[in-house]
Amino acid sequence: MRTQEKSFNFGKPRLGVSHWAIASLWFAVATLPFIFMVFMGMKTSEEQISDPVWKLPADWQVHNFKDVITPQYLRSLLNSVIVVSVSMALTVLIASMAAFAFALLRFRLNAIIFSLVVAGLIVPIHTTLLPIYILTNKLHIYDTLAALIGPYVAFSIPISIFILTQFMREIPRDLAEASLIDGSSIFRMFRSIYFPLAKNAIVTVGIFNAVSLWNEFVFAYVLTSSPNNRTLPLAVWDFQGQYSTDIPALLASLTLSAMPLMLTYFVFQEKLVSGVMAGAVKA
Amino acid sequence: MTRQMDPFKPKLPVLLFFLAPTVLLLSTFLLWPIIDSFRLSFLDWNGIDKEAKNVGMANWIELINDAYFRIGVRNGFILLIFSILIQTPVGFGIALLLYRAGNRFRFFKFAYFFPFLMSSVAVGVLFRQIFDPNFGLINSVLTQINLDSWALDWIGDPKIAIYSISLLVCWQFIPFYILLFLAALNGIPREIEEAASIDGARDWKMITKIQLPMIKGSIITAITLMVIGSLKYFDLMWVMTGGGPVYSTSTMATYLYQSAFKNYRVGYGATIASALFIIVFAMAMIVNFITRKSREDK
Repeated sequence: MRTQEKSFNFGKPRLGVSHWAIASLWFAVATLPFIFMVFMGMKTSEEQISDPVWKLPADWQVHNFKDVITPQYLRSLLNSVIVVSVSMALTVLIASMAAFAFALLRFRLNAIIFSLVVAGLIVPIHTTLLPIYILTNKLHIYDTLAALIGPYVAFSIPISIFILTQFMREIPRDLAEASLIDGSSIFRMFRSIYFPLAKNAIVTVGIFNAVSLWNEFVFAYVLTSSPNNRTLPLAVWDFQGQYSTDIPALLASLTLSAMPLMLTYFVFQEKLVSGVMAGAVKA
Repeated sequence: MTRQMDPFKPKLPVLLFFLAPTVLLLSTFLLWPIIDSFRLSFLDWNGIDKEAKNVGMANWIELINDAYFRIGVRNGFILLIFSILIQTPVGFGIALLLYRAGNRFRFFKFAYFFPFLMSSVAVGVLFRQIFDPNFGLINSVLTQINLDSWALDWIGDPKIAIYSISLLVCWQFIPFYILLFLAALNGIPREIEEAASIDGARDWKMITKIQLPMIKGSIITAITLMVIGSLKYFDLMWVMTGGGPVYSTSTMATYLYQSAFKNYRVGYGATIASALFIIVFAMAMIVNFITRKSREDK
Protein backbone atom coordinates (compact mmCIF):
# COMPACT_ATOMS: atom_id res chain seq x y z
CA MET A 1 0.00 0.00 0.00
CA ARG A 2 1.09 3.47 -0.86
CA THR A 3 0.77 4.81 2.66
CA GLN A 4 2.99 2.18 4.13
CA GLU A 5 5.71 2.54 1.54
CA LYS A 6 5.67 6.19 2.38
CA SER A 7 6.53 5.80 6.04
CA PHE A 8 9.05 3.16 5.02
CA ASN A 9 10.99 5.41 2.68
CA PHE A 10 10.88 8.15 5.21
CA GLY A 11 14.17 7.17 6.78
CA LYS A 12 12.39 4.81 9.19
CA PRO A 13 12.19 6.92 12.37
CA ARG A 14 13.60 5.42 15.53
CA LEU A 15 11.26 3.99 18.14
CA GLY A 16 12.47 4.68 21.66
CA VAL A 17 11.51 3.20 25.00
CA SER A 18 8.76 5.79 25.46
CA HIS A 19 7.18 4.77 22.15
CA TRP A 20 7.12 1.15 23.19
CA ALA A 21 5.73 2.10 26.59
CA ILE A 22 2.85 4.09 25.10
CA ALA A 23 2.17 1.38 22.55
CA SER A 24 1.99 -1.26 25.26
CA LEU A 25 -0.14 0.91 27.53
CA TRP A 26 -2.89 1.41 24.97
CA PHE A 27 -2.57 -2.23 24.00
CA ALA A 28 -3.33 -3.16 27.61
CA VAL A 29 -6.20 -0.68 27.93
CA ALA A 30 -7.74 -1.88 24.67
CA THR A 31 -7.38 -5.61 25.22
CA LEU A 32 -7.60 -6.31 28.98
CA PRO A 33 -11.41 -6.11 29.04
CA PHE A 34 -11.52 -8.69 26.23
CA ILE A 35 -9.14 -10.99 27.97
CA PHE A 36 -11.27 -10.67 31.11
CA MET A 37 -14.36 -11.47 29.05
CA VAL A 38 -12.90 -14.54 27.38
CA PHE A 39 -11.38 -16.06 30.52
CA MET A 40 -14.30 -15.25 32.76
CA GLY A 41 -16.55 -16.91 30.19
CA MET A 42 -14.76 -20.21 30.91
CA LYS A 43 -15.07 -20.21 34.69
CA THR A 44 -17.81 -21.76 36.77
CA SER A 45 -20.25 -19.48 38.56
CA GLU A 46 -18.73 -20.49 41.91
CA GLU A 47 -15.21 -19.60 40.80
CA GLN A 48 -16.43 -16.30 39.53
CA ILE A 49 -17.66 -15.38 43.00
CA SER A 50 -15.00 -16.98 45.21
CA ASP A 51 -11.74 -16.64 43.25
CA PRO A 52 -9.82 -13.45 42.47
CA VAL A 53 -10.56 -12.23 38.93
CA TRP A 54 -7.06 -12.81 37.59
CA LYS A 55 -6.95 -16.45 38.68
CA LEU A 56 -7.25 -18.72 35.67
CA PRO A 57 -10.14 -21.15 35.62
CA ALA A 58 -9.29 -24.42 37.45
CA ASP A 59 -11.27 -26.39 34.94
CA TRP A 60 -11.89 -24.65 31.62
CA GLN A 61 -15.63 -24.58 31.07
CA VAL A 62 -15.50 -24.53 27.29
CA HIS A 63 -19.03 -25.86 27.26
CA ASN A 64 -20.20 -22.41 28.42
CA PHE A 65 -19.69 -21.31 24.84
CA LYS A 66 -21.46 -24.33 23.42
CA ASP A 67 -24.37 -23.79 25.79
CA VAL A 68 -24.85 -20.26 24.54
CA ILE A 69 -25.15 -21.36 20.91
CA THR A 70 -28.84 -22.04 21.13
CA PRO A 71 -31.27 -22.06 18.19
CA GLN A 72 -32.23 -18.57 19.40
CA TYR A 73 -28.64 -17.34 19.12
CA LEU A 74 -28.31 -18.76 15.62
CA ARG A 75 -31.60 -17.18 14.67
CA SER A 76 -30.38 -13.75 15.85
CA LEU A 77 -27.09 -14.27 14.05
CA LEU A 78 -28.98 -15.06 10.86
CA ASN A 79 -31.22 -12.02 11.35
CA SER A 80 -28.19 -9.78 11.75
CA VAL A 81 -26.53 -11.23 8.66
CA ILE A 82 -29.70 -10.70 6.60
CA VAL A 83 -30.45 -7.17 7.76
CA VAL A 84 -26.86 -5.98 7.57
CA SER A 85 -26.11 -7.47 4.16
CA VAL A 86 -29.33 -6.24 2.55
CA SER A 87 -28.92 -2.75 4.05
CA MET A 88 -25.28 -2.64 3.09
CA ALA A 89 -25.91 -3.71 -0.50
CA LEU A 90 -28.69 -1.13 -0.91
CA THR A 91 -26.60 1.61 0.70
CA VAL A 92 -23.64 0.93 -1.56
CA LEU A 93 -25.77 0.90 -4.70
CA ILE A 94 -27.86 3.98 -3.88
CA ALA A 95 -24.96 6.00 -2.46
CA SER A 96 -22.62 5.28 -5.35
CA MET A 97 -25.29 6.32 -7.84
CA ALA A 98 -25.84 9.60 -6.03
CA ALA A 99 -22.10 10.16 -5.55
CA PHE A 100 -21.61 9.65 -9.29
CA ALA A 101 -24.18 12.36 -10.01
CA PHE A 102 -22.67 14.77 -7.48
CA ALA A 103 -19.12 14.15 -8.67
CA LEU A 104 -19.59 14.15 -12.42
CA LEU A 105 -22.91 15.57 -13.59
CA ARG A 106 -23.70 19.25 -13.98
CA PHE A 107 -27.10 20.34 -12.75
CA ARG A 108 -28.33 23.48 -11.11
CA LEU A 109 -28.91 22.30 -7.53
CA ASN A 110 -25.85 20.05 -7.35
CA ALA A 111 -24.02 21.89 -4.57
CA ILE A 112 -27.18 22.57 -2.56
CA ILE A 113 -28.51 19.00 -2.63
CA PHE A 114 -25.05 17.69 -1.82
CA SER A 115 -24.79 19.89 1.28
CA LEU A 116 -28.29 18.90 2.37
CA VAL A 117 -27.38 15.22 2.08
CA VAL A 118 -24.21 15.74 4.09
CA ALA A 119 -26.18 17.76 6.66
CA GLY A 120 -28.03 14.48 7.25
CA LEU A 121 -24.95 13.47 9.26
CA ILE A 122 -26.02 15.64 12.16
CA VAL A 123 -29.59 14.32 12.45
CA PRO A 124 -29.88 12.48 15.78
CA ILE A 125 -31.43 9.04 15.34
CA HIS A 126 -33.55 9.69 18.40
CA THR A 127 -35.28 12.70 16.91
CA THR A 128 -36.65 10.48 14.17
CA LEU A 129 -37.49 7.55 16.44
CA LEU A 130 -41.13 8.31 17.26
CA PRO A 131 -42.29 9.24 13.74
CA ILE A 132 -40.50 6.19 12.30
CA TYR A 133 -42.05 3.99 14.98
CA ILE A 134 -45.51 5.32 14.12
CA LEU A 135 -44.86 4.96 10.39
CA THR A 136 -43.67 1.38 10.89
CA ASN A 137 -46.89 0.56 12.72
CA LYS A 138 -49.01 2.14 10.01
CA LEU A 139 -47.25 0.12 7.31
CA HIS A 140 -47.84 -3.06 9.36
CA ILE A 141 -44.15 -3.93 9.30
CA TYR A 142 -43.58 -3.39 13.03
CA ASP A 143 -41.58 -6.29 14.50
CA THR A 144 -40.24 -7.50 11.15
CA LEU A 145 -36.72 -7.36 9.78
CA ALA A 146 -38.05 -5.22 6.91
CA ALA A 147 -38.80 -2.42 9.36
CA LEU A 148 -35.09 -2.00 10.04
CA ILE A 149 -33.85 -1.77 6.48
CA GLY A 150 -35.31 1.63 5.55
CA PRO A 151 -33.87 3.50 8.56
CA TYR A 152 -30.57 1.60 8.32
CA VAL A 153 -30.04 2.54 4.68
CA ALA A 154 -31.21 6.11 5.18
CA PHE A 155 -28.87 6.73 8.11
CA SER A 156 -25.90 5.13 6.29
CA ILE A 157 -26.37 7.17 3.13
CA PRO A 158 -25.02 10.60 4.16
CA ILE A 159 -21.56 9.41 5.26
CA SER A 160 -21.36 6.98 2.32
CA ILE A 161 -22.21 9.63 -0.26
CA PHE A 162 -19.75 12.01 1.37
CA ILE A 163 -16.86 9.54 1.14
CA LEU A 164 -17.74 8.23 -2.33
CA THR A 165 -18.23 11.68 -3.84
CA GLN A 166 -14.82 12.81 -2.57
CA PHE A 167 -13.34 9.71 -4.12
CA MET A 168 -15.12 9.94 -7.48
CA ARG A 169 -14.13 13.59 -7.88
CA GLU A 170 -10.54 12.37 -8.08
CA ILE A 171 -11.23 10.09 -11.04
CA PRO A 172 -9.88 11.89 -14.13
CA ARG A 173 -12.66 13.37 -16.24
CA ASP A 174 -10.74 12.47 -19.42
CA LEU A 175 -11.77 8.88 -18.92
CA ALA A 176 -15.43 9.80 -18.94
CA GLU A 177 -14.99 12.13 -21.90
CA ALA A 178 -13.16 9.48 -23.90
CA SER A 179 -15.90 6.98 -23.28
CA LEU A 180 -18.48 9.50 -24.44
CA ILE A 181 -16.65 9.91 -27.73
CA ASP A 182 -16.86 6.15 -28.07
CA GLY A 183 -20.60 6.63 -27.83
CA SER A 184 -21.37 5.26 -24.39
CA SER A 185 -24.25 6.59 -22.38
CA ILE A 186 -24.13 8.08 -18.92
CA PHE A 187 -25.44 4.80 -17.50
CA ARG A 188 -22.62 2.87 -19.19
CA MET A 189 -20.16 5.40 -17.85
CA PHE A 190 -21.38 4.76 -14.33
CA ARG A 191 -21.45 1.00 -14.68
CA SER A 192 -18.26 0.36 -16.58
CA ILE A 193 -15.99 3.23 -15.49
CA TYR A 194 -16.96 4.87 -12.20
CA PHE A 195 -18.34 1.93 -10.28
CA PRO A 196 -15.34 -0.34 -11.01
CA LEU A 197 -12.78 2.43 -10.45
CA ALA A 198 -14.33 3.38 -7.13
CA LYS A 199 -14.26 -0.25 -6.02
CA ASN A 200 -11.83 0.31 -3.18
CA ALA A 201 -13.79 3.20 -1.74
CA ILE A 202 -17.00 1.22 -2.16
CA VAL A 203 -15.61 -1.79 -0.31
CA THR A 204 -14.52 0.52 2.48
CA VAL A 205 -17.85 2.24 2.73
CA GLY A 206 -19.45 -1.19 2.80
CA ILE A 207 -17.26 -2.42 5.65
CA PHE A 208 -17.61 0.80 7.55
CA ASN A 209 -21.41 0.62 7.39
CA ALA A 210 -21.39 -3.07 8.19
CA VAL A 211 -19.54 -2.39 11.44
CA SER A 212 -21.94 0.28 12.62
CA LEU A 213 -25.09 -1.54 11.48
CA TRP A 214 -23.96 -4.84 12.95
CA ASN A 215 -23.83 -3.14 16.35
CA GLU A 216 -26.91 -0.96 15.92
CA PHE A 217 -29.09 -0.96 19.00
CA VAL A 218 -31.75 1.77 19.13
CA PHE A 219 -33.77 1.09 15.98
CA ALA A 220 -33.63 -2.66 16.56
CA TYR A 221 -34.72 -2.12 20.17
CA VAL A 222 -37.71 0.03 19.22
CA LEU A 223 -38.84 -1.48 15.92
CA THR A 224 -38.74 -5.18 16.82
CA SER A 225 -40.02 -7.01 19.88
CA SER A 226 -40.26 -10.77 19.46
CA PRO A 227 -37.16 -12.95 20.01
CA ASN A 228 -37.45 -14.36 16.50
CA ASN A 229 -36.92 -10.95 14.95
CA ARG A 230 -34.15 -9.73 17.22
CA THR A 231 -30.69 -8.95 15.87
CA LEU A 232 -27.53 -9.99 17.69
CA PRO A 233 -27.08 -6.92 19.95
CA LEU A 234 -30.68 -7.32 21.05
CA ALA A 235 -30.18 -11.03 21.68
CA VAL A 236 -27.37 -10.04 24.05
CA TRP A 237 -29.70 -7.52 25.66
CA ASP A 238 -32.43 -10.14 26.16
CA PHE A 239 -29.89 -12.72 27.27
CA GLN A 240 -28.51 -10.52 30.06
CA GLY A 241 -32.05 -10.24 31.43
CA GLN A 242 -32.34 -14.05 31.67
CA TYR A 243 -28.81 -14.83 32.82
CA SER A 244 -28.17 -12.01 35.25
CA THR A 245 -27.01 -14.55 37.84
CA ASP A 246 -24.85 -16.76 35.64
CA ILE A 247 -22.08 -14.28 34.86
CA PRO A 248 -19.74 -16.71 33.04
CA ALA A 249 -22.54 -17.74 30.67
CA LEU A 250 -23.33 -14.08 30.09
CA LEU A 251 -19.70 -13.30 29.26
CA ALA A 252 -19.50 -16.31 26.96
CA SER A 253 -22.50 -14.96 25.08
CA LEU A 254 -20.81 -11.55 24.80
CA THR A 255 -17.69 -13.17 23.39
CA LEU A 256 -19.72 -15.06 20.83
CA SER A 257 -21.61 -11.95 19.81
CA ALA A 258 -18.35 -10.07 19.21
CA MET A 259 -16.72 -12.90 17.24
CA PRO A 260 -18.29 -12.47 13.79
CA LEU A 261 -17.18 -8.85 13.52
CA MET A 262 -13.71 -9.56 14.89
CA LEU A 263 -13.17 -12.22 12.23
CA THR A 264 -14.45 -9.92 9.50
CA TYR A 265 -12.19 -7.17 10.74
CA PHE A 266 -9.24 -9.54 10.72
CA VAL A 267 -9.87 -10.31 7.05
CA PHE A 268 -10.59 -6.77 5.84
CA GLN A 269 -8.30 -4.79 8.16
CA GLU A 270 -6.28 -3.07 5.44
CA LYS A 271 -9.34 -2.06 3.44
CA LEU A 272 -11.01 -0.56 6.46
CA VAL A 273 -8.03 1.61 7.26
CA SER A 274 -7.48 2.73 3.67
CA GLY A 275 -11.15 3.54 3.24
CA VAL A 276 -11.43 5.71 6.28
CA MET A 277 -8.50 7.54 4.77
CA ALA A 278 -10.40 8.22 1.58
CA GLY A 279 -12.91 10.19 3.60
CA ALA A 280 -10.69 11.73 6.21
CA VAL A 281 -8.04 13.34 4.07
CA LYS A 282 -10.43 15.80 2.52
CA ALA A 283 -12.87 16.28 5.35
CA MET B 1 -19.82 22.69 -27.85
CA THR B 2 -23.29 24.14 -27.37
CA ARG B 3 -25.04 23.98 -24.04
CA GLN B 4 -27.52 21.30 -25.02
CA MET B 5 -24.70 19.05 -26.12
CA ASP B 6 -22.82 19.21 -22.84
CA PRO B 7 -22.72 15.47 -22.12
CA PHE B 8 -22.37 16.00 -18.39
CA LYS B 9 -25.58 17.96 -18.21
CA PRO B 10 -28.13 15.16 -17.96
CA LYS B 11 -31.79 15.23 -18.88
CA LEU B 12 -34.18 15.21 -15.92
CA PRO B 13 -35.13 11.50 -16.08
CA VAL B 14 -31.45 10.51 -16.04
CA LEU B 15 -30.82 12.76 -13.07
CA LEU B 16 -33.83 11.34 -11.26
CA PHE B 17 -32.59 7.83 -11.85
CA PHE B 18 -29.38 8.59 -9.96
CA LEU B 19 -30.75 10.83 -7.23
CA ALA B 20 -34.36 9.80 -6.60
CA PRO B 21 -33.59 6.86 -4.26
CA THR B 22 -31.37 9.03 -2.07
CA VAL B 23 -33.80 11.94 -1.96
CA LEU B 24 -36.73 9.63 -1.27
CA LEU B 25 -35.03 7.76 1.56
CA LEU B 26 -33.64 10.85 3.24
CA SER B 27 -37.00 12.61 3.03
CA THR B 28 -38.86 9.64 4.48
CA PHE B 29 -36.50 8.71 7.30
CA LEU B 30 -34.67 11.94 8.16
CA LEU B 31 -36.43 15.08 6.95
CA TRP B 32 -40.06 14.14 7.43
CA PRO B 33 -39.54 12.64 10.92
CA ILE B 34 -37.91 15.88 12.10
CA ILE B 35 -40.92 17.85 10.93
CA ASP B 36 -43.32 15.27 12.36
CA SER B 37 -41.55 15.39 15.73
CA PHE B 38 -42.32 19.09 15.92
CA ARG B 39 -45.96 18.39 15.07
CA LEU B 40 -46.21 15.68 17.75
CA SER B 41 -44.64 18.02 20.31
CA PHE B 42 -47.89 20.00 20.48
CA LEU B 43 -49.92 16.91 21.39
CA ASP B 44 -50.81 15.08 24.56
CA TRP B 45 -50.88 11.48 23.36
CA ASN B 46 -50.12 8.09 24.95
CA GLY B 47 -49.30 6.51 21.59
CA ILE B 48 -52.15 4.00 21.82
CA ASP B 49 -55.43 5.94 21.63
CA LYS B 50 -56.84 7.03 18.31
CA GLU B 51 -57.38 10.51 19.66
CA ALA B 52 -54.58 12.88 20.59
CA LYS B 53 -55.27 16.12 22.41
CA ASN B 54 -53.78 19.35 21.15
CA VAL B 55 -52.11 21.10 24.07
CA GLY B 56 -50.34 23.93 22.28
CA MET B 57 -47.11 25.00 23.91
CA ALA B 58 -47.73 23.11 27.16
CA ASN B 59 -45.07 20.46 26.46
CA TRP B 60 -42.49 23.09 25.57
CA ILE B 61 -43.21 25.10 28.72
CA GLU B 62 -42.90 21.92 30.78
CA LEU B 63 -39.62 21.09 29.06
CA ILE B 64 -38.06 24.44 29.86
CA ASN B 65 -38.86 23.94 33.56
CA ASP B 66 -37.98 20.25 33.60
CA ALA B 67 -35.01 19.59 35.91
CA TYR B 68 -34.54 16.07 34.49
CA PHE B 69 -34.20 17.43 30.98
CA ARG B 70 -31.60 19.87 32.24
CA ILE B 71 -29.65 16.96 33.75
CA GLY B 72 -29.73 15.37 30.30
CA VAL B 73 -28.32 18.52 28.70
CA ARG B 74 -25.68 18.85 31.41
CA ASN B 75 -24.62 15.21 31.02
CA GLY B 76 -24.37 15.67 27.25
CA PHE B 77 -21.92 18.50 27.81
CA ILE B 78 -19.96 16.53 30.43
CA LEU B 79 -19.57 13.75 27.87
CA LEU B 80 -18.58 16.31 25.24
CA ILE B 81 -15.86 17.83 27.44
CA PHE B 82 -14.53 14.36 28.30
CA SER B 83 -14.53 13.44 24.61
CA ILE B 84 -12.65 16.52 23.46
CA LEU B 85 -10.12 16.48 26.31
CA ILE B 86 -9.45 12.73 26.21
CA GLN B 87 -10.21 11.39 22.75
CA THR B 88 -8.46 14.12 20.78
CA PRO B 89 -5.03 13.99 22.49
CA VAL B 90 -5.02 10.21 23.02
CA GLY B 91 -6.27 9.56 19.50
CA PHE B 92 -3.71 11.93 17.99
CA GLY B 93 -0.87 10.62 20.15
CA ILE B 94 -1.47 7.02 19.21
CA ALA B 95 -2.04 7.89 15.55
CA LEU B 96 1.31 9.67 15.60
CA LEU B 97 2.92 6.63 17.15
CA LEU B 98 1.48 4.29 14.53
CA TYR B 99 2.43 6.70 11.77
CA ARG B 100 5.98 6.79 13.02
CA ALA B 101 6.03 3.02 13.38
CA GLY B 102 5.00 2.49 9.75
CA ASN B 103 5.14 -1.22 9.05
CA ARG B 104 6.20 -2.11 12.57
CA PHE B 105 3.69 -2.60 15.40
CA ARG B 106 1.40 -4.65 13.13
CA PHE B 107 0.30 -6.80 16.02
CA PHE B 108 -0.50 -3.79 18.20
CA LYS B 109 -2.37 -2.19 15.34
CA PHE B 110 -4.69 -5.14 15.09
CA ALA B 111 -5.57 -5.08 18.78
CA TYR B 112 -5.88 -1.30 18.93
CA PHE B 113 -9.30 -1.26 17.34
CA PHE B 114 -10.97 -3.91 19.50
CA PRO B 115 -13.05 -1.47 21.56
CA PHE B 116 -14.59 -0.03 18.42
CA LEU B 117 -15.63 -3.45 17.11
CA MET B 118 -17.84 -4.45 20.03
CA SER B 119 -21.45 -3.43 20.12
CA SER B 120 -22.45 -0.90 22.77
CA VAL B 121 -24.67 -3.52 24.36
CA ALA B 122 -21.76 -5.92 24.72
CA VAL B 123 -19.45 -3.19 26.03
CA GLY B 124 -22.10 -2.07 28.50
CA VAL B 125 -22.86 -5.53 29.81
CA LEU B 126 -19.16 -6.40 30.02
CA PHE B 127 -18.24 -3.24 31.89
CA ARG B 128 -21.10 -3.65 34.31
CA GLN B 129 -19.11 -6.69 35.44
CA ILE B 130 -15.77 -4.86 35.33
CA PHE B 131 -17.17 -1.93 37.34
CA ASP B 132 -18.96 -4.21 39.82
CA PRO B 133 -18.16 -2.92 43.34
CA ASN B 134 -17.58 -6.42 44.79
CA PHE B 135 -16.51 -8.84 42.08
CA GLY B 136 -15.42 -6.42 39.36
CA LEU B 137 -12.00 -6.38 37.74
CA ILE B 138 -11.18 -2.82 38.80
CA ASN B 139 -12.05 -3.09 42.47
CA SER B 140 -10.49 -6.56 42.81
CA VAL B 141 -7.20 -5.15 41.59
CA LEU B 142 -7.48 -2.04 43.77
CA THR B 143 -8.16 -4.05 46.95
CA GLN B 144 -5.33 -6.40 46.12
CA ILE B 145 -2.81 -3.56 45.99
CA ASN B 146 -4.26 -2.09 49.21
CA LEU B 147 -5.99 0.87 47.62
CA ASP B 148 -9.33 -0.03 49.19
CA SER B 149 -10.33 3.59 49.54
CA TRP B 150 -10.09 3.96 45.75
CA ALA B 151 -12.46 1.08 45.18
CA LEU B 152 -15.62 3.05 44.49
CA ASP B 153 -19.06 2.02 43.35
CA TRP B 154 -18.26 3.21 39.84
CA ILE B 155 -21.70 3.17 38.29
CA GLY B 156 -23.84 2.80 41.42
CA ASP B 157 -22.85 6.08 43.04
CA PRO B 158 -24.87 8.94 41.51
CA LYS B 159 -22.00 11.36 42.12
CA ILE B 160 -19.49 9.55 39.91
CA ALA B 161 -21.53 7.29 37.60
CA ILE B 162 -21.67 9.83 34.77
CA TYR B 163 -17.88 10.24 34.81
CA SER B 164 -17.25 6.48 34.77
CA ILE B 165 -19.55 6.01 31.80
CA SER B 166 -18.14 9.04 29.99
CA LEU B 167 -14.64 7.56 30.32
CA LEU B 168 -15.96 4.31 28.92
CA VAL B 169 -17.49 6.09 25.93
CA CYS B 170 -14.04 7.59 25.27
CA TRP B 171 -12.49 4.14 25.50
CA GLN B 172 -14.95 2.88 22.91
CA PHE B 173 -14.42 5.69 20.39
CA ILE B 174 -10.67 6.41 20.67
CA PRO B 175 -9.90 3.76 18.00
CA PHE B 176 -12.14 5.58 15.54
CA TYR B 177 -10.22 8.82 16.07
CA ILE B 178 -6.89 6.99 15.83
CA LEU B 179 -8.00 5.87 12.37
CA LEU B 180 -9.14 9.34 11.41
CA PHE B 181 -5.91 11.04 12.49
CA LEU B 182 -3.73 8.29 11.07
CA ALA B 183 -5.43 8.76 7.71
CA ALA B 184 -4.83 12.51 7.89
CA LEU B 185 -1.17 12.08 8.83
CA ASN B 186 -0.72 9.77 5.87
CA GLY B 187 -2.19 12.49 3.68
CA ILE B 188 0.56 15.00 4.47
CA PRO B 189 2.75 15.38 1.36
CA ARG B 190 6.07 13.71 2.05
CA GLU B 191 8.07 16.58 0.55
CA ILE B 192 6.90 18.91 3.32
CA GLU B 193 8.07 16.58 6.07
CA GLU B 194 11.34 15.90 4.28
CA ALA B 195 12.00 19.60 3.80
CA ALA B 196 11.30 20.27 7.47
CA SER B 197 13.51 17.37 8.45
CA ILE B 198 16.38 18.71 6.32
CA ASP B 199 15.88 22.08 8.02
CA GLY B 200 16.55 20.28 11.28
CA ALA B 201 13.01 19.87 12.62
CA ARG B 202 12.98 16.92 15.03
CA ASP B 203 10.25 15.18 16.98
CA TRP B 204 8.51 17.88 18.99
CA LYS B 205 9.04 20.64 16.48
CA MET B 206 7.92 18.39 13.64
CA ILE B 207 4.71 17.64 15.54
CA THR B 208 3.81 21.18 16.54
CA LYS B 209 5.01 23.03 13.46
CA ILE B 210 4.21 20.56 10.68
CA GLN B 211 2.01 17.61 11.57
CA LEU B 212 -0.50 19.26 13.88
CA PRO B 213 -1.19 22.26 11.60
CA MET B 214 -1.36 20.02 8.52
CA ILE B 215 -4.13 17.87 9.94
CA LYS B 216 -6.11 20.76 11.41
CA GLY B 217 -8.98 19.92 9.07
CA SER B 218 -9.30 16.42 10.49
CA ILE B 219 -9.14 17.69 14.05
CA ILE B 220 -12.03 20.02 13.26
CA THR B 221 -13.94 17.10 11.70
CA ALA B 222 -13.23 15.05 14.83
CA ILE B 223 -14.45 17.76 17.19
CA THR B 224 -17.58 18.28 15.10
CA LEU B 225 -18.31 14.55 15.27
CA MET B 226 -17.75 14.61 19.04
CA VAL B 227 -20.14 17.53 19.50
CA ILE B 228 -22.87 15.77 17.55
CA GLY B 229 -22.19 12.33 19.01
CA SER B 230 -21.96 13.39 22.66
CA LEU B 231 -25.11 15.49 22.80
CA LYS B 232 -27.27 12.78 21.25
CA TYR B 233 -25.60 9.91 23.11
CA PHE B 234 -27.78 7.05 24.34
CA ASP B 235 -26.34 3.55 24.21
CA LEU B 236 -24.06 2.96 27.21
CA MET B 237 -26.15 5.03 29.60
CA TRP B 238 -29.20 3.03 28.67
CA VAL B 239 -27.50 -0.36 28.79
CA MET B 240 -25.51 0.17 31.99
CA THR B 241 -27.73 2.22 34.26
CA GLY B 242 -30.90 3.03 32.34
CA GLY B 243 -30.09 6.68 33.04
CA GLY B 244 -29.97 6.08 36.79
CA PRO B 245 -29.27 6.01 39.64
CA VAL B 246 -31.89 8.74 40.17
CA TYR B 247 -31.39 10.23 36.69
CA SER B 248 -27.69 10.92 37.41
CA THR B 249 -26.59 9.43 34.06
CA SER B 250 -29.65 10.40 32.08
CA THR B 251 -29.02 12.00 28.67
CA MET B 252 -31.49 13.82 26.44
CA ALA B 253 -31.88 10.64 24.41
CA THR B 254 -32.45 8.30 27.37
CA TYR B 255 -34.94 10.76 28.84
CA LEU B 256 -36.69 10.92 25.48
CA TYR B 257 -36.90 7.13 25.35
CA GLN B 258 -38.15 6.95 28.90
CA SER B 259 -40.86 9.57 28.36
CA ALA B 260 -42.15 8.17 25.09
CA PHE B 261 -41.84 4.42 25.52
CA LYS B 262 -41.88 3.85 29.29
CA ASN B 263 -44.18 6.61 30.52
CA TYR B 264 -46.28 6.58 27.32
CA ARG B 265 -46.01 10.32 26.84
CA VAL B 266 -45.39 10.41 23.09
CA GLY B 267 -46.07 14.13 22.78
CA TYR B 268 -43.58 15.00 25.49
CA GLY B 269 -41.04 12.55 24.04
CA ALA B 270 -41.40 14.30 20.70
CA THR B 271 -40.80 17.63 22.43
CA ILE B 272 -37.53 16.31 23.84
CA ALA B 273 -36.69 14.91 20.39
CA SER B 274 -37.27 18.30 18.79
CA ALA B 275 -35.26 20.10 21.46
CA LEU B 276 -32.46 17.57 20.95
CA PHE B 277 -32.45 18.35 17.24
CA ILE B 278 -32.40 22.11 17.86
CA ILE B 279 -29.51 21.82 20.34
CA VAL B 280 -27.43 19.51 18.14
CA PHE B 281 -28.10 21.63 15.07
CA ALA B 282 -27.22 24.86 16.90
CA MET B 283 -24.01 23.41 18.31
CA ALA B 284 -22.99 22.08 14.89
CA MET B 285 -23.59 25.57 13.45
CA ILE B 286 -21.54 27.18 16.23
CA VAL B 287 -18.62 24.80 15.65
CA ASN B 288 -18.92 25.44 11.95
CA PHE B 289 -18.84 29.21 12.55
CA ILE B 290 -15.91 29.15 14.98
CA THR B 291 -13.83 26.96 12.69
CA ARG B 292 -14.74 28.74 9.48
CA LYS B 293 -11.78 31.05 9.61
CA SER B 294 -9.23 28.33 10.11
CA ARG B 295 -10.76 26.29 7.31
CA GLU B 296 -10.59 29.24 4.94
CA ASP B 297 -6.92 29.73 5.77
CA LYS B 298 -6.05 26.36 4.32
